[in-house]
Amino acid sequence: MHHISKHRIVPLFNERDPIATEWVCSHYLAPVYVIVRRLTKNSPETDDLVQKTFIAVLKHKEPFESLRKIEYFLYTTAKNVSMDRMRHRLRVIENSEKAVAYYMSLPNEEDAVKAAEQAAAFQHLIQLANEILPKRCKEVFNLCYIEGLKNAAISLKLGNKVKTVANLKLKAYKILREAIIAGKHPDLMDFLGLLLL
Amino acid sequence: MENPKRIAELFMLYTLGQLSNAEETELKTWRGESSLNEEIFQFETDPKNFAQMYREIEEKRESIIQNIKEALPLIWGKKINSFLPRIPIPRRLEAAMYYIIMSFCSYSVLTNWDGGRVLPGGYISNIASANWIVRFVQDFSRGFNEGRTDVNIEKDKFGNEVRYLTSDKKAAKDKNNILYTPRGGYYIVRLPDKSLVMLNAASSIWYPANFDRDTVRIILKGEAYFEVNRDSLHPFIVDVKIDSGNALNHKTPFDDSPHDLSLAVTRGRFNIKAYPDEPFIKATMIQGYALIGWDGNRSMHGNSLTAGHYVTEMHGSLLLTEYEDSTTAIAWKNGRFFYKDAGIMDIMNAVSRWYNVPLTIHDSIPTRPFHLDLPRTADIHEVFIALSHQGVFCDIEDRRIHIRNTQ
Repeated sequence: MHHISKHRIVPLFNERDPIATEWVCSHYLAPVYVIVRRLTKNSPETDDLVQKTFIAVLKHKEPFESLRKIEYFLYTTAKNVSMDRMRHRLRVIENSEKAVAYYMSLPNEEDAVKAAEQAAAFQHLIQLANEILPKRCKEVFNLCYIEGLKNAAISLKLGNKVKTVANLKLKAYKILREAIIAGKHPDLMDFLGLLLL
Repeated sequence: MENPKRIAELFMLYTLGQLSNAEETELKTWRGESSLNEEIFQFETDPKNFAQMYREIEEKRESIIQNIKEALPLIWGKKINSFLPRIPIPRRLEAAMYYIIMSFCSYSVLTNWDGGRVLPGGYISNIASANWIVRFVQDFSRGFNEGRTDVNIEKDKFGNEVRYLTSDKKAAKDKNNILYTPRGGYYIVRLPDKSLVMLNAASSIWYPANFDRDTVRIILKGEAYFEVNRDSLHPFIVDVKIDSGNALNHKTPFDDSPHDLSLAVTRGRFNIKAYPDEPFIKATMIQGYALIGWDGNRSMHGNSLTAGHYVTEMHGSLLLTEYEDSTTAIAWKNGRFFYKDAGIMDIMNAVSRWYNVPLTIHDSIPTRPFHLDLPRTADIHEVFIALSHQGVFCDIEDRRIHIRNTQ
């Protein structure tokens, strides 16, 4: 653990100075780990995804202007890599042969249970969304969460304005938040703050 | 307000205790918009919901960071930029430069002061000869080279740096050096006989400059964790003295005044906590066996301290107790604040030393037990939040922690 003056961290980090880089990794490990762990339900890949997040920020070529920018980049990347993994898991479990092969590939039963729990929670969220969301919100939600499309891509696909897509997404989040709290879905509480805020 | 990024940002600032007045109002408005918002806020900012995750992080921290380093060897293979240019400098000028930089350090770093924010402690320590001529061991961030002092750096088989104090074979047998950490510092070093010492904040050890003696005698003030591996004919003796007001002010430790506690160890791992502002000295044996003595004649009384026990010394009397779990005693060396059913002053004294902020108590001190489980890298406001859930309100004003009992 090194003490480093905060105003020097960003320029040193932009040069990938070893001490500043280690400081950033060490300082933001906890929040990044919490984001990944909550979204993936402590699946066996949590550590890999955390490492992937940090490696992505360390390979980012553009300089960061402030620590806050580094934080946002890390948190957004943590969320995105976790979402990608969840989408991938969803595709795997929809194919029973692939699902069996995947669970058999895990080193122990505990990991398989965690992976299954995580997939089930994400499936539960999508199922809930499809049950309660109005048609247009549902379309946007599915394109965003299952296909992984950004607002601009969704607007092109649906022929709407980007602003309309953003509004529909916010509306969908609000309805889901209310349903999760009112319906007491403990397995979805972690999605509440991280994805649906 | 329905801007998800902004709300997430306000949550983060709230958890870190960095909300400005305007941001506090903004967050309050959002919380007041619906009971749903309030419920989300409570869930997202309650540290209890994530305590298990923080425990996991501390277990995995080293391996994750090591894996990142291995994935990007080009970054960590770089030479660290030196703080001072490596050009020949006359020794007097060098001494003057050290003095100037030390003055700067003492203001901005040793006080853990970073533009108004209180920061956790760090890896920082000084070394001095017995007459208190101070040489640097490690500065606040990136390094006066330890090779300038009596510390050697070697790599272990895993490639980690290990710091060794050197033994001066020509030094007189009664010559001693002092290794000390300031408030907000800690240090890990191996003595010349390979014994490991981890010094907590505001602690010091006096050790012989010449280690080639049958028996090694160390004097400790403050808190340290030891790992000793010697033979029964050449024990390692730790004397503890807390008679002066400040762990760093005691300049003549080898005088005739009695030691408060002595431990003779041949092989074992143990932690000793002996701060002047704590009510008693506590020695916890994690592994191995020690003989205990506490009188001025330095004769051992034959009491033994075995693994699974701790001994407390208060006003000359000793109390031997069996413990169930050593986690509390050595949590600091594992980078955690971990207290279970502890007194509030036990906790706050440690917090005060680690963040280097003095305490002010406004109400009667609550006597009920408190719990705390946080990494030592946590922001000080995370400590305050954890304690506020237990009825104690802490805040920082004028570089002091103010403690108020809310129950």
